[in-house]
Amino acid sequence: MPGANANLLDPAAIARGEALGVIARQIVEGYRVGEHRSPFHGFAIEFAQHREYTTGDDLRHLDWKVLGRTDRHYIKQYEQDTNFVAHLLVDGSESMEYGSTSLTKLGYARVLAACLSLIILEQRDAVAVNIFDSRIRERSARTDNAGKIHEIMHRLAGVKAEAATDLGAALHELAATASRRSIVMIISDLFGNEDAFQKNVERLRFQGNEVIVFHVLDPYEMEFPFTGTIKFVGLESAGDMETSPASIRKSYLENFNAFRERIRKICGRSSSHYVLCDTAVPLAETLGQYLAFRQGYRTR
Amino acid sequence: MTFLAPTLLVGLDVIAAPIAIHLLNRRKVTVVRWGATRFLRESLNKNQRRLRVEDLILLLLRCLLIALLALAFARPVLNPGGAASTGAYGPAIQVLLLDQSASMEQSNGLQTRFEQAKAAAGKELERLAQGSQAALFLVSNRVNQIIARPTPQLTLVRHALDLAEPTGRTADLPSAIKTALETLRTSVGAKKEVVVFTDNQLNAWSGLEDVRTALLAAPDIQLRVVSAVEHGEDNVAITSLKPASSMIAAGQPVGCVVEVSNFGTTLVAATRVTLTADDGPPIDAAVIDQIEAGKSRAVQLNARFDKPGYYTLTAAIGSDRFPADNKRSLAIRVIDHLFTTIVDGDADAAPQDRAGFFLANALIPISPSRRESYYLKTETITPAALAAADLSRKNIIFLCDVARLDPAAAQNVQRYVREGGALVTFPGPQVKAATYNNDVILSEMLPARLGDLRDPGAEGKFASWQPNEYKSPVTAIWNENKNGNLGSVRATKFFPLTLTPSKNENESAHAIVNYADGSPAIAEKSYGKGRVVLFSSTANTKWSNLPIHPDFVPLLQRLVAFVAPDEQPGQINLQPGAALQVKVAADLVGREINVLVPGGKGKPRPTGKVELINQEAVVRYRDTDEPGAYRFFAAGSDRAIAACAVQIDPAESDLRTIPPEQLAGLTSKGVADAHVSHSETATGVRRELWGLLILLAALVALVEMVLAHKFSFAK
Repeated sequence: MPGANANLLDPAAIARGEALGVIARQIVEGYRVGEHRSPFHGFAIEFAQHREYTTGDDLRHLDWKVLGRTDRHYIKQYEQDTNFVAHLLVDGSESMEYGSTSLTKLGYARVLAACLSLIILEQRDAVAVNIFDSRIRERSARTDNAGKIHEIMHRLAGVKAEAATDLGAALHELAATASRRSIVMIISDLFGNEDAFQKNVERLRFQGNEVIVFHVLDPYEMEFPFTGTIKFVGLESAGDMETSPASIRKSYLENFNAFRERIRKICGRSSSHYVLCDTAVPLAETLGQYLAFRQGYRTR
Repeated sequence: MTFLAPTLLVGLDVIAAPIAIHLLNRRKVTVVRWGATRFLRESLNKNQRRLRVEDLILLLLRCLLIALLALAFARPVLNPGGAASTGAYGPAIQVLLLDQSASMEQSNGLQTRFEQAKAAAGKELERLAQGSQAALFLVSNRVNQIIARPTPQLTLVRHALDLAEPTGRTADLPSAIKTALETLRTSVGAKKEVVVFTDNQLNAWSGLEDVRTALLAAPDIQLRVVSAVEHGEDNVAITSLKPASSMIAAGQPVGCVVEVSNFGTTLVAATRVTLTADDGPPIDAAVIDQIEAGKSRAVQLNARFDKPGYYTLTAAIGSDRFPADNKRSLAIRVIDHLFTTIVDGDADAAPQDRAGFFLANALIPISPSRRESYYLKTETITPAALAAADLSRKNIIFLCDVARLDPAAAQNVQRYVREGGALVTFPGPQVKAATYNNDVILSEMLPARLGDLRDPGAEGKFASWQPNEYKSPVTAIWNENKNGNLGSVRATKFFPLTLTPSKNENESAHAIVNYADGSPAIAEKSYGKGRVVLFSSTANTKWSNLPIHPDFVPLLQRLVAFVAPDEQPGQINLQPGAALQVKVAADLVGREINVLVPGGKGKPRPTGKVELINQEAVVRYRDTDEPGAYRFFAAGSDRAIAACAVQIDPAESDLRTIPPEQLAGLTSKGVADAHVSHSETATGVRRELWGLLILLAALVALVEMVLAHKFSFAK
């Protein structure tokens, strides 16, 4: 159903929480036809710790073995939490505001984040959505409550691109606060400091997190098909440049492709997943391909 | 460079098109809010300068392409030598003035100045745009308006130009320019221009101020001077050839004074001068050891002719690049005899006491044994015989101390003088001033009235002749001291002479020589066809020492030559272009005439017949532009019946050019000065450049395409 989903990415619609939820659901439902296994299982089902039972705890998580041996009531912590925590790190910087069509990279990122959130919550895992630019601007508490999806959608729909990107700082901040191993999903154009990005991705990986990088790019950024004389007004206060794009296309593409290659290598070296998200390609198609790859990855 | 289709030069405006497109492209800017500025800036930093250079190269190539095409369509023409031509910019009306003076025959070794000027004029005609008109004037001392009015038929002008030949005349460019300005003044429309093709000889530009004035009066007419030379040249020339005596008789030596002038800036040494007669071998020669720069030297060469008739003498020096003045010819008429009659008032006295004794001996200053062969014949008669004397064959009559002429004698003498005879009168003791002054006929004929007799001798004094500053041709040779001194001629008695005024300028009286106080000692005037001379003192030694003065004989000989009736009344030594009219024997009327012209290579050519004009047989000839000797023969005869010599003006030998600043002074009035370089006239062929420009345009277009493709590919 990718084609049908493509029509769902209406900029006005994804700016509204309800609509964003509906869109995400349709995309996810389309993907789930005939699919019953979560692509994200793997980390959080392992034992974490015991803690004493307190009133109100679900008795299903009581460690009966310990009770039988010691007659003490302990709750197995992992069984009481979600399977895993997914930290969605959505780039809300000004550079995400670009779009060669009405769909900007930020819009694309919203829908992608919404879809991922829906998938994760529906398989009863926890999700935490973080919006960042030069820092983590908005942070939603992690939740495994599917009822919270509407709140997440509203939060995503209300994201405004404002400041410059500092992905390294945002990752650093996330790594400092993430209390346990989790899946970190970065949805960004990654137009920041590559060294900081690399350093913090490696740190996250060192902490035991899985890192998935959704590299959101506009086709014009990848192909640079401009003609005539263009005045490029730099987002993130990068200044203005007036030039004949045809004259610099070759050089630009060399630079840009080298950038993508560097990002890809950073991800490869840190065993992070790199997913190129071309905003011209329907989101369902991109998401489907990745999740299918993910399924295969898990079963290997 | 000029253009045959200058209006198409407006196509150059199209150059603005690529520039405008370039600028418009720069102006039409699309604004894009862009995130990936980092990569953009890196690319820009790397390529921006190169791209600007590439854009500029392409822009320049496109502008150049359009410019070349526009220039090609305008049909540019390369003018060799860079002559300042303005004629190509639209139709023009031009008067071309071609200097055909003698100096234009100066050669550079390959071409004469005249040939160079003709070539330049031809190019000027070729440059004229369609619709132009041109007139052609050939300029010497007169303006020969070959094409008198500007005509659009430039082929006709070109043909007339091709036929033009140099003459031996001088040039008067200012007069020609004024004539041309007058011609153009009435022309309407296109740009008007007078173009002068000349060698800029200094003498040809006398009267430049008149040109300036005329130009000021014609502000719409431009003057342009195209000079065939850049500067003057040294030149050695024969500037004068004259007989030492105007009376040349058969069997008598003829002295010819040849004057050679050095117009250069360095001394000229060992100039050999030869004299030939009738194109024969040299008969005399001399070498002038040196002639200083700017100076002249004269040498006398001699000839002798045994038979009367017409002859031509030609003096020559070594050849140089201006050959016209290396030769100079002189036509002479050698006479057989000259008959003189002395009317002696003392004819009855002893021979040595007669009034005409010294005169008779001075006229024939040779030994009695040789008198028969001498050209001068004399007879002495009494005043009483004068009335009945047949004067028709006489050439000169001398009246010596004749107290009075009876009316019949006076009328006889008057008729004789009117018909061309000469009368020389010496007073004497028998002469009363009142008698002469009151005689109706004598007072009319004589050049002066006699005053009261003066007798300074009574006081032991005398009246001397002026020692110098002689103006008459008779006495002019005594201006040089080496020829003697007439100042030592003294009169103890004389009649003061008062020149008689005359309404007819041709018959006005002149003094041949004056006394030291300025009063005339000898007076002369023309009367009818003859001439009358009046001395103030005697012909013998009673009142004057003149008869025994060393210069008496030469003075008398020169006087005889001066007053002798010229049986050849026509001028036979001519300025170039002057018409010849000379009397010949009456029996030649109607006979065919052949003329041998200078450079005729010994082959006479027919030139008409002997005409009968005013009951006289006359040879007339007008084609005398070429300097040199002309001889005329009756058909079937090898004996010249007439001759003339055409002599160029000595001023033409001075090849100095007018200083450029003098012409430049007219620049404010639109006078341009240009030179016809030697290379231009030798190889000057007009070349159209449109083909080359089209080729260049194609090349530029190809380069532009290749570069544009390369630049695009690189992008």
